[in-house]
Amino acid sequence: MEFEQDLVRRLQSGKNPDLAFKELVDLYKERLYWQIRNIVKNHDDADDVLQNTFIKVFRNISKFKGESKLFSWLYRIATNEAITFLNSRSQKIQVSNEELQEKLIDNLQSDIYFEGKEIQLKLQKAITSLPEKQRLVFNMRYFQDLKYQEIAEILQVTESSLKSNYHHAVKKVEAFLKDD
Amino acid sequence: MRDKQTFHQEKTGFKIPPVYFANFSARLQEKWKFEQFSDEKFFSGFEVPENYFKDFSIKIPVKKQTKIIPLFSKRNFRHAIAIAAILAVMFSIFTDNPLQKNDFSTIEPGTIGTYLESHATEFSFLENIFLENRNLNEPELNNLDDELLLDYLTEPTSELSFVNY
Repeated sequence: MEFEQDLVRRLQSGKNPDLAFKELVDLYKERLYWQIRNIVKNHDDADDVLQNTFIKVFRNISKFKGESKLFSWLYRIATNEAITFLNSRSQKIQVSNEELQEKLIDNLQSDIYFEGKEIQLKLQKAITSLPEKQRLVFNMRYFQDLKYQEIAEILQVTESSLKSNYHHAVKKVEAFLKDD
Repeated sequence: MRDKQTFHQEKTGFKIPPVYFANFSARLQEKWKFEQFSDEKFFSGFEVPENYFKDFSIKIPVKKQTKIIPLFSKRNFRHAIAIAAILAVMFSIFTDNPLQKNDFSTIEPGTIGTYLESHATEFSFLENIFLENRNLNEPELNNLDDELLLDYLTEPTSELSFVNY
């Protein structure tokens, strides 16, 4: 926590910004990548969104007030960027969000950066069938092992609401895997 | 202990290219420099005279009255009609009439003779002409002016001109 505050101070002061930004990137690139990748599914898209996320962070670091943790602020930007990316994609190819999710899963089968195990593909299909909020919560809790408190801070919702969302999501995924 | 990457890959099935994270910072830095350059607005160096925009006004040039000449005036119409009439006359004069070419010179004399014989009754006017000529009596012939007679004979008559032999 103290390290984060120090990093923010250095980023905002503008003294040796390149070094401070490099530290920030090295510290969060991997975690943010997996957050984004779980949403957009494809590696190249995840790479684009991750770069845009950091660019946005660099541009707006002066506006960061420290009211939330730097970690949650970064996650929030990454999540928004990923969702915006998908919305733009669906508008561009003129399909609904649900249809786009199906397309993403179809593409996974020929994606060289997807392991392709049957159970993993089934799991991805099951996650795709969830409503957006449950999908986000499931990805953050199941795949990234984030605590409810952290997820609540990132998505700016209550912990009880999150737990309920996660519980419903797990039930649906289980049912999907059994039926499929 | 498994690293984060292996943990995520095993759980999600998503893989990443080798050394992706190792090169990420360098690639991001390049993009960031480009973005910063795009953001920066350099001074172009162009300057304007003092009070240029304050005094700026557009002088609208006064339009000259132009004379409108109607395309279909009476005068032009009359000229056009006259030209058309002249052309029509010239065309009728100088254009070859294909009927004119079919004169009697192209017909065998024997054919005409045969035709006249077979249509003798229809061409009785020829007979009348000759008869008329025969009926001239001697005193009348003697009274004829030589000059008039010569003119008469040299002038082709309308009735005989078509018998082209």
